[in-house]
Amino acid sequence: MHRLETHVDPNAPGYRAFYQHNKELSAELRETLRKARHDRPQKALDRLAEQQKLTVRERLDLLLDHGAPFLELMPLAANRHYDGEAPQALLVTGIGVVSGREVMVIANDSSLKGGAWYPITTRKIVRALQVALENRLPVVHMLDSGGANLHLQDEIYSVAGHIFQQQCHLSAQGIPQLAVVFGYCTAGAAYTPTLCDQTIMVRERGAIFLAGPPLVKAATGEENTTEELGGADMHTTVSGVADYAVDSEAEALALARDVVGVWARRDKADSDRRAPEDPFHDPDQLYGIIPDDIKKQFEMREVIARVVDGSLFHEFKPGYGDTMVCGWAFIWGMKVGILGNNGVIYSEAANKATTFMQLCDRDGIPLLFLHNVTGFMVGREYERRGITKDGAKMLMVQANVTVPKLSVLCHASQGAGNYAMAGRTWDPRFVYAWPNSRSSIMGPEQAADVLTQVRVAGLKRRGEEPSPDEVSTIKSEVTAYFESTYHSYYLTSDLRDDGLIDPIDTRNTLGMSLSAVLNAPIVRAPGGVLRI
Amino acid sequence: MSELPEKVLVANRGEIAVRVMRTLRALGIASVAVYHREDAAGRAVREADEAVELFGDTPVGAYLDVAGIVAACHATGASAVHPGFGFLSENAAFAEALAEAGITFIGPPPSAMRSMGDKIESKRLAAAAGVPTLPGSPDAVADVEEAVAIATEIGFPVLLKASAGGGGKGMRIANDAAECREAFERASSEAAASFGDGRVFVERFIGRPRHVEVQVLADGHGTVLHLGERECSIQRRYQKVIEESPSPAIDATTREAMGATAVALARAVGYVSAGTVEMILDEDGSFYFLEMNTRLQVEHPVTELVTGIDIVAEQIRIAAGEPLAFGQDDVRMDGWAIEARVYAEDADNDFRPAIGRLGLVRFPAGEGIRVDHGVVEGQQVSASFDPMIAKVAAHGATRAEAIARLRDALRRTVLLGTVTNTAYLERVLAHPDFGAGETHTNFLAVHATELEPVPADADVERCLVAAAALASPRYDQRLAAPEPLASMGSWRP
Amino acid sequence: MPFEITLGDGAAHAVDVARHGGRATVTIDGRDYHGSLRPAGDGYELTLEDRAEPMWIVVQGDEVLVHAFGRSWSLSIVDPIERSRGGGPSEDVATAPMPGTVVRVEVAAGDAVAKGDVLLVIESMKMQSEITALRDGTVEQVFLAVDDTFDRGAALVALAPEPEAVEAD
Repeated sequence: MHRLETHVDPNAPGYRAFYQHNKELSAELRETLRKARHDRPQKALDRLAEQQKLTVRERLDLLLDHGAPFLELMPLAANRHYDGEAPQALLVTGIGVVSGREVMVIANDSSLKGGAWYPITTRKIVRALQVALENRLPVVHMLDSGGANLHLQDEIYSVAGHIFQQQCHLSAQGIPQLAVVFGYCTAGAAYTPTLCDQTIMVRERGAIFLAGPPLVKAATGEENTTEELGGADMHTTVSGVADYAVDSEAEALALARDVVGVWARRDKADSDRRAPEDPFHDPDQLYGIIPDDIKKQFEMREVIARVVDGSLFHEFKPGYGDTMVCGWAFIWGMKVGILGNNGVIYSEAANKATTFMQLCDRDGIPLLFLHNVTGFMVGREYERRGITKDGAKMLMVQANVTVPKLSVLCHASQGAGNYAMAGRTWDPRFVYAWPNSRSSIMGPEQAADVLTQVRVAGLKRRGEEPSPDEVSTIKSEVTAYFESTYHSYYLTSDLRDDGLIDPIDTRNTLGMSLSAVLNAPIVRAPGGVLRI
Repeated sequence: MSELPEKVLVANRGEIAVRVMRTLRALGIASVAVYHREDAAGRAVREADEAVELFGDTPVGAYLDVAGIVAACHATGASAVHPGFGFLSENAAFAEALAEAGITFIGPPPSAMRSMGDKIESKRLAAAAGVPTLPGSPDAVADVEEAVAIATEIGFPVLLKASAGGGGKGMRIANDAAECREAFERASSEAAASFGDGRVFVERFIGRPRHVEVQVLADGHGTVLHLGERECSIQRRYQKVIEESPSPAIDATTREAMGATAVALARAVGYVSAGTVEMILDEDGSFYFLEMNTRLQVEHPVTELVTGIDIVAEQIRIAAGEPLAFGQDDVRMDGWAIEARVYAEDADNDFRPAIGRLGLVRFPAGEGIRVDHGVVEGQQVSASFDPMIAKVAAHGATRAEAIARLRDALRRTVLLGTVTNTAYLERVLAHPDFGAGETHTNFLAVHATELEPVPADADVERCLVAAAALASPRYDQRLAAPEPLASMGSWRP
Repeated sequence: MPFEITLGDGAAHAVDVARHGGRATVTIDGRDYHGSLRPAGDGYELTLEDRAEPMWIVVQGDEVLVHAFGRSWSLSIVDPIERSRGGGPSEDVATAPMPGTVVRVEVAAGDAVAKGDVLLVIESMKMQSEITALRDGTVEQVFLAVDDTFDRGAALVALAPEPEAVEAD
């Protein structure tokens, strides 16, 4: 491996313009995250205090090991949905360290709406459990929710069942789960703690029941207090639905740390490792490398040089298929096979990538896809040479590799290019996006052109001409629609990625993600490598 | 015929037994240790070439078993016995029993032990030898009236002292006749109860006395010389705690005078071997005889450090009939030495004796440092014997250097598992009055408040708490996070 | 719950440790400090934030003996959960193990009872249980009557405290 050279000139005007633009995006991201995580109306915080409840952030602080990292996933869920009523979809999830163990934490945020589930909340839980299942991460559920937001029950009910099924699968896979019940677990949600291996309940606050006292009274006339019907003492001494009863949230979290500390520790998958090393080239320069316009290009190797250990990279087939960069590097000491775009995908680039992925699959090396792609090359020459066949080969191999895949949307990620580069719908273990990234079927201008042409053709068939106003309306409507639905903040709001990350956090995010994926064994597929 | 013995039995235990054996080894003489079961795993037994178990009703009693010791000599072929200090070292009957058994006693003749063992008799002999004695009653006073009369004659304040007393028992100060009467009654009854001998005598009381003693060495061929003085004023309840040589209060003239009188006394009682003449020094420089110890003293290391002479080796040579190989003019005092006695006691809580298992023992080493100890890591600190664990001494070119070295050595003396007085000793050495040489036998009492411990500041406490948490297996239940998370610190995006 | 560590006779500190590789984060009374304890020479070196101190340490059960800063120190570690468990139920006052209602009262003030005698019968969660005397004694006071409800931990019946043992002449 050799240190990548850099040709970036921090004094060039282009660099400076990009730098400023991306620093602003970075500041905007941090501020948006801060608000989503911490801004709550004072009366909401007061109400929590009256109920003697801690905020979800305070609970996390007591649960997680101090001095250890925490990678929050999907922190901007629902930031562009529900009129902003449900920041983070009222749920915090992420990978953290508890008593020395990597765990997935899923915690309700009851500061607003009683922590009710919105449709995105439900999908966020399902995604978190999927990450836990695929990466064999133990789960700690911190439960405190008023239940489903009944006004949106349709989109909730159609998804929620997966949660409990996944819990059953986690258990069968030998992945431990702990529930800490700080508030209500009603109706279906009562199954989360009950399906966990161990459950802790806080007296006078936590409750598990299929129906609460008002519903029971309505149904059968029976009167009960909450404690009698589903409180900590009842469930830990009479029904056996829960295992530990404590008097305070602090005690519950201390006990949770104890329980996790007793869980078995499993070895990680065997993988090539070396001592970690910071990148040689300054990651801060990423801000100056990434363009301020989605249509502008940049050299992907400069990005790689600022993410990998020591900026060391062994490029595969450097002279061939130059719109794809393939090579091996280490991130936080773990070896990865990197594929990055330097333009539209031509056949040679696709074929190189396909061969490269086979090599990594043979050797059990996780794959990292760095996206900056608008699609495959179009045109007669390329169609005749079978560009879709070469694209298909790339897709076939990528879909069936047994090594974990990780994706980062660095800039554009569109059309089939997103597919080839293991975008969301191709099930990478983790997919992240930079705030400047954009992803859609095609670019807005292109779409606007296409739709305008269609409209004009239609009108012409009826013998009509579109007015300039009409044309510009079509263009602006389409553009507006695309711009809102391909925007990184919108996509992350709808959980099309596992989180927006600041470019400078890429290395650490990937480091934690790689550490997580190595909890599951890498089973090598048989078969020789085809030189495609 | 002077031939060193081939094998010597050391009739003692702990650090002094180890120290004596060190010299025996240097002289190529085999050593035999005697021990009570409690000391079976002790350092003395380990370092001896042979060891014989002694028995007694009490552990101390075992070391007083004369017959047992004689038998051990016969069984091992030891032709001489070194008694150390304490136990049988000043027991004339023991020396005689050894002589009768044909075993050499490495020490003075029994007659000298007897005459110097009696306070009143020794005072009389001292006076006769021209040694200045403290004005006081020539004999035990017959009754309270005589006490008052003599007290009035020599001038108040006076000290009433039990003849058979020691270690501060049976001693009372009187500032006037009325107090004198009361003091007499008290001292007398205390002495009768403690020693079975209620005799009391009266002497001048000195306000800020310094305890200064002279080391003498005499061979069997008429040579008697002195090895300079030691000051042992730093005492707690009449037990020496810190000793030094030379004394900061003595000039060359006084040294010569004191040395001469000590030698005169030793000669007068026909002394042979090593002995110490203890005196009291008044603020005006006048000195008075206290008593003579007819044995090796605990604090002899400071004399050895300053003169370069191995006193135990000299004792062995003298006992073997050799004449001293050097004269008074050859004795030089070079630099300064100070010794501190490390006790297993809680100086912060009334000096309560401490016990425990010595889980970790590390003694300091370095330029000018000498440590005499008899402990083994892992051993129990016993309540059966004297609680002194070690003597830590430092030598320097100047008194200030010796103080600095000893303070540093005490800070580096690690004895974990019991409580020791090392921090207290360090505070004493750090006291400006000690640094100025303003020492006297009431020093520790007078400065008691200033010598109290200072509580740890918040920073120090935090370090200790963190260390305890990181060292304790209780916290190991929390395993380390896997790499690379472990190296990421508290990163959050 | 973090354990409590006390230096000598000082105040107890709440302390927790999270280890990362060779280093650790020690949380003392809510504040985080980064450091490590590593073997050095024949003892240890503690680093805590920017301080580095040589130390010798012996652990004896829940006592940690440290020689540092030129002297020896003794620290004790207490698990608050173990300590609170140590306190057994009071033998003088019978308390309710869970919320419920009084069903039957079997004794009155002044009655002599033997260890194991039923004092009253309560009902919780639709289940009845007997509250019995934990020692011989005399009933001093019955706090509740039939049909009274109570919370967990409420005092139900008090026995007169044991008289002081009389000094032998």
